[in-house]
Amino acid sequence: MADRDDTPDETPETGREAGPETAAPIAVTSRLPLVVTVAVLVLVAAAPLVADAVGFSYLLGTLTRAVILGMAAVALDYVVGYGGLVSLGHAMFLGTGAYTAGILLFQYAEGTGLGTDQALVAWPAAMLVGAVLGWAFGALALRTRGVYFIMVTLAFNQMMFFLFNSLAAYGGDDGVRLSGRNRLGPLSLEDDLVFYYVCVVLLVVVLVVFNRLVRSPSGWLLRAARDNEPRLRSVGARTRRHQLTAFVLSASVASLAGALAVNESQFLSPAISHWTQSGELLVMVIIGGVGSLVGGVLGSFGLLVLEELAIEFTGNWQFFVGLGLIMIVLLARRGLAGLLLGRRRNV
Amino acid sequence: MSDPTTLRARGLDKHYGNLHVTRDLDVEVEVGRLQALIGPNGAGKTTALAQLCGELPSAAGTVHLDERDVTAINLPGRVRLGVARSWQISAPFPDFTVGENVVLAALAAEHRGFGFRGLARRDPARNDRARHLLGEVGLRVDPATPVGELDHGGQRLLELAMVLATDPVILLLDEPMAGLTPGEVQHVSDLLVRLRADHGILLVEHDMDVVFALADGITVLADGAVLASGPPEAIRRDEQVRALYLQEVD
Ligand SMILES: Nc1ncnc2c1ncn2[C@@H]1O[C@H](COP(=O)(O)OP(=O)(O)OP(=O)(O)O)[C@@H](O)[C@H]1O
Ligand SMILES: [Mg+2]
Repeated sequence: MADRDDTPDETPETGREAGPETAAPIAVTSRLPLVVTVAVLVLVAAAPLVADAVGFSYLLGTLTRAVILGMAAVALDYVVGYGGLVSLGHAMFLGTGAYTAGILLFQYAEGTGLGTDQALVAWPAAMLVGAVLGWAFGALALRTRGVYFIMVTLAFNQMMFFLFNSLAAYGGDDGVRLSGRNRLGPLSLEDDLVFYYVCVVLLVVVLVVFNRLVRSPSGWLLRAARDNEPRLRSVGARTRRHQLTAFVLSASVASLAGALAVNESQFLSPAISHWTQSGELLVMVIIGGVGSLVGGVLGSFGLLVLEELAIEFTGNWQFFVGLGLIMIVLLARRGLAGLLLGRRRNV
Repeated sequence: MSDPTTLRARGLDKHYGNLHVTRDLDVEVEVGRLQALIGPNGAGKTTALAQLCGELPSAAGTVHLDERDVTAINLPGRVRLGVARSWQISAPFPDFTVGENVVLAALAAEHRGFGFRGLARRDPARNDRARHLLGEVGLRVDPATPVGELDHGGQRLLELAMVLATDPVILLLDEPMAGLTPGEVQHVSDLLVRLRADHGILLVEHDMDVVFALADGITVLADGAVLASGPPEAIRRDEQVRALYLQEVD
């Protein structure tokens, strides 16, 4: 096992050589988080087929929104659950992605200004704009911590919400209907089922990336800074850098989710960036299981499907959704993912 | 860049409101020497260390590493130049195992880029070094032990291993032996003697037997100011120091 080629330090020090006989692992690791993540993704992939079989095929739109918001919730969990930075502003990144892809699509259809219907241009563009905004807002918000961080991200969210509202060329606060979805090579995204599976594939990629990130040096430093930032700085970590990169990545992925969301609804509206949507993402993370990544998906499916069923079967659905949330928080303190993972952490 | 050999502080000052915690403090830590910093509770020892390592800004004074003025360099920056401080109160990271804590400290000190590449737990060289450091400080537990299962002494030793993992040249140690068993104190004393060969050590310690056994020089702090500084024999004979300590140790 001892591949010493990448020894990180050039200056030898007394006793740097370690005896190979002492090679006890530094941690007991578990495959359970991986198993749970794969199982959840299999269920997500099977969901439209099951819904169709039991006569709930009208739920496909809801399921698609659950995948898309689940992606944003996974990204939010990275900063909230692993970074300890509670952002109440992530809906502004949904809005950023929606407006980037939406405006490009709208202008393409109108033949005015810069525009494209190509997903391979519009979606990366959404991620880029999200990353730039995430960097600017993150750098400012990270001057604060705790409750102040919540308030600052909320304030930025409101700023962006009013900005989107003021875009008269794109319908102002009414929003604007789009004439179709992005084009992605030979795939027909206009087909709802094809679009669903494109979103699922992107969700898989996002989960792989964030699961890898939490196990990277950057992810460890992010997690340790959450627990004791001054202590981590005293062993040399530039904690702010790791927190900011986490925020930027999270914002960028939330923007991608926004671009997908505007494709799903084919309707560009500032509503997606309202602060209550930020709150809803946070609720998804909490009921799904803070600091588990896959919990974001469980939370979004739990919440959206619960809402849909409650609307279907009862008049006062909000009451039942609220009741369901209280039950989850009381019965499963670590969220839905906690029920599956037990004491194991996804790290 | 070659390793520094001397950390020199001149005229350090610090106030907390009306409380003048350190006054015009001069301290020098040199590779090959162990300097003890002693003084009654509340004398300002921990504050002085925090100023030396860059954790606390100073109202006045300068800190130099060899010829380089590092007064304006922040805490992580000074760690990267080879200055590391242990905490008086152990604070390992609860979410990580004993071995992972040491790896984490090494990662913290070594990482210059974003740190996206690789898996933190899967670097054999770094893991070997972590196990080795745990052995050096005399913490004989399974590295996969959760830190919560360590007793107080174990946490003190882990603290020391984490500081060493940052690959420091200048060590600022805040009562590393407080609460250890006599056997552990002996082990850490032996380690400090070995480390002294290529490190400069500033040791805050209340146990005078340990101080007089190890120190090449002693600085006595009282009310934030240097009361006396010199070789151990001179300090032992110093009237003012005797007066300060007779009421406590006797
Ligand atoms: N953050 C703070 N705010 C206000 N006063 C402080 C603060 N930190 C320390 N002090 C005060 O500064 C003085 C020096 O504290 P310091 O911790 O440096 O002493 P010390 O010599 O390390 O003591 P001990 O031997 O008990 O560890 C004490 O009177 C303490 O109460
Ligand atoms: Mg102290």
